[in-house]
Amino acid sequence: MIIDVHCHYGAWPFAMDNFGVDRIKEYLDRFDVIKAIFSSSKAIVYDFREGNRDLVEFLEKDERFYGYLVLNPNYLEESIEEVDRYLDNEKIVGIKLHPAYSRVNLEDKRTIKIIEHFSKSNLIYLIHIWGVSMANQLARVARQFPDIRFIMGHTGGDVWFDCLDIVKPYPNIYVEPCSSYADRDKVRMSIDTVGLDRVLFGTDFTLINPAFVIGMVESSGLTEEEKSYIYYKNSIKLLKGGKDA
Amino acid sequence: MIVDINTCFGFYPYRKVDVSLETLKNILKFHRAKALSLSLKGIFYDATEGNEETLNLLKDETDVYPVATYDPRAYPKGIEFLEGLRSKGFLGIAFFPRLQGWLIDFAPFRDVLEILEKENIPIIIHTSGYGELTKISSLAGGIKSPFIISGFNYSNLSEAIAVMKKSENIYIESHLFNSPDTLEYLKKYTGTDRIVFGSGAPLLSFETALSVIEKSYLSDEEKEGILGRNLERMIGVKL
Repeated sequence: MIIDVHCHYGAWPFAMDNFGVDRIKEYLDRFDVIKAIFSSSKAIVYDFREGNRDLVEFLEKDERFYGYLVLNPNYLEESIEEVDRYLDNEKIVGIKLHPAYSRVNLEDKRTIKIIEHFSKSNLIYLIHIWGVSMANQLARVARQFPDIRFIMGHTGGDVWFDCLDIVKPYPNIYVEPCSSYADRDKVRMSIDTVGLDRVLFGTDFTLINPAFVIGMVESSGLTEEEKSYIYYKNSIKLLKGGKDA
Repeated sequence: MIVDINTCFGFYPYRKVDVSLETLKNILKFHRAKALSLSLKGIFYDATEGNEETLNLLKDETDVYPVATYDPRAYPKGIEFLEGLRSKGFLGIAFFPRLQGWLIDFAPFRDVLEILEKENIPIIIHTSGYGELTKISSLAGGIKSPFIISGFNYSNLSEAIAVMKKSENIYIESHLFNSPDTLEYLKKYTGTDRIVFGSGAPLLSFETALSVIEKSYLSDEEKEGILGRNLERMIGVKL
């Protein structure tokens, strides 16, 4: 049983098929994914409002589908309106920020304004983090907003081991391991550094397949009990607002 | 049978991690797999010393076969080692341009390829970045040896497809394939005969690389090809 906290809906500009609803459902069936949280690729790389609109329609197609709204802090007022528009939608559990695509860093005053504005909302933030500099920004933002829960996407990318040390002191930062490089010790070291309860299962699907990240978990020498926390128990707790699974 | 063409052993300087030969052997034993491998000393420090270490440590191994390496930044130092690689016991030679910071159209590398042409040995190149494989295909056009390229994921698969359609001696290695769909996509455009299995173990997860192959909708015969037979056919040796 799996909850995948890092999925995408929409096309990518790469040599791969575009995944429709049926194919996504088939993959969730194949890997026993009971909940998957998607953000729109269109919203990330192009028009966030059009992409979010596609996403919200898509989320209605299956009870396992949940979503993050993608915001673009270059459009501050529109981003706030976007959250207001969908805040009551039970399928929306969080906000996705991709500072590399929007080219607005996490500590930019516009990003901070968005986070401040919705600080009482219980929304989870999935943030694309790649590198020590971005991880440091996330750490400072998490310190500023200790009641908001952040997921450090990719555990910080190719220097994930340094990024783990950076976010370790902040219990409101969770990590998920997906990356194009399946480092054999990434999941184990994540647990050893930030604790078992802060490591989630995320894949970057449809870019990266569950088979890839499951392999990372399975090669980590974990007990079945530990794996169950990674695969779904920690995410259940996160989605319940921090209450025990 | 599984043969992993992308493994290594030794000391990893970029972070503390166990990449010993013993760990590699344990992984292979668990999966009943064989591997082509080389000492990291040859990549990070000195190719000749590394190659000698690879031969020395693998001489009594039955499931791990030696791969040589050469660093063109050191050219022509140690170039004589590349003569007679097959007779020394190496099943391939691997290059690491991205890790070592040189480019495919680096003149010393062209000279090295000319020397290797006489060896008829698989040339494994670990690279990534748009345009790199296109450059390799230009070089490979005049050389009969098979080229095995490692470093493809969703982002640069288009280049692999375009090049493989034109160059029969270009193969690709699988460790960065992020999804079973990648294999199904390649099958549609290039077939599966020129895909070989690699994992990056013990640095990277063997289970991940294997899982992507096993979870695909390819036939058992196609999977067996990728997991070993394609490589055996290429090198003309039953492993």
